[in-house]
Amino acid sequence: MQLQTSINNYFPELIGQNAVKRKLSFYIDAFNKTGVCPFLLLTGAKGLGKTEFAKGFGKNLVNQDGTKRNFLEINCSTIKNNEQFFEQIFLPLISDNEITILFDECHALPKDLTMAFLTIFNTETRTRKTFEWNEMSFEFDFKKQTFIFATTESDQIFPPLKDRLTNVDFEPYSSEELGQILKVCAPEAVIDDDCLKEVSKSVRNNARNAVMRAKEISLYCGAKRKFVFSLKDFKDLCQQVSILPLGLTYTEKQILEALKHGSATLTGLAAKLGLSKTSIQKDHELYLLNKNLIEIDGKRKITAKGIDVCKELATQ
Amino acid sequence: MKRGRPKGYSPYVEISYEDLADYVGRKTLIKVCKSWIEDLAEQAHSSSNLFSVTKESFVEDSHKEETKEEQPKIEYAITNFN
Repeated sequence: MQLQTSINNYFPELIGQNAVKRKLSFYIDAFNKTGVCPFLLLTGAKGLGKTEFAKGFGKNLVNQDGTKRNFLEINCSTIKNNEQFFEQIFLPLISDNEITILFDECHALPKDLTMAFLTIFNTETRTRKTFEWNEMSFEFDFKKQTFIFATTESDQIFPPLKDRLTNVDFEPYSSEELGQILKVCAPEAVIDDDCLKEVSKSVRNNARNAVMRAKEISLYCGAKRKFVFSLKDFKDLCQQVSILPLGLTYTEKQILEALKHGSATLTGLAAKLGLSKTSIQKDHELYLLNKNLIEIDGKRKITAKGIDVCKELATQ
Repeated sequence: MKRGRPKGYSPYVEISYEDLADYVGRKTLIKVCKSWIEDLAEQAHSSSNLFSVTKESFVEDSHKEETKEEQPKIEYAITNFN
């Protein structure tokens, strides 16, 4: 009960991900007592809220003088080498400062910095580390600096670096949680429960999509001067902004239509759609598989549920 | 019967250092004329040579500076929660 209260105190604006909240709350409590936090690695599919939770976590960390710790968010795909990192980021922003640093998309860290991090984050019980590079010394003080890493591609992180980080894994949102996100992000609209269920289905299990859909609902209600958003309004919105059933994309729709008349190999499907095989595998068929609309048994086949969705698509 | 070297004969041939490197490595011992190597060493220490070396290193340094400036900017954002 007490833990539930504390996780809600630490993350009042964030919905769902209770396991993540519990784990992060534990580290916040520990940090506030000891001043030390493990190096965290947030992993999970895109749109699950890794960055938002990292910020929420950072917001709860307090400096030695009682002020809140600043939060630095770096897009790792823009880091090219050690020199650039130490010159542009470490010396001006991190060194001697109390700050939380989020390395977003950390699978894209350059090789030389990954190697440097192996040394820097190999701390055992010490809270300070001096890193010697290029005849210079860089002082890391882990009581002053908190490091968080986040990625969707955890398999692409160099395993020895991954071993030095504490993993916090995100789980998919339930339909109810997505509904709550929609309600919170469209506060001016009253969305009835049936409608909320349908809208939740269209956000592809993804919190970021739920936030975007909520914005569309707000705009719709604002434009129509409405306070109640009903199922009829949602159908109207779907027509206007081209939202397909289950939030399918037009390429996914094409895949379903291509498979409606019979199974196909990946190569055959790629040829029919004019897409690369990798693109189909990585970008388009995963959601169809997740929603049980197609299955792969040597060949790609449409399921009974997939046929029903095809019929629904035909009526639109 | 004439003996000795014909007029104009020299036991030396000219070869560029680059071509010589096709036959010998950097650490191969090579016999050279004492006066030639002494002249060469003297030239290397003369002021004109020093100037050209300094100029070259200046050009090199400014090139390095340019390369440093060309480093792309890392994208980041700082949030202050206070």
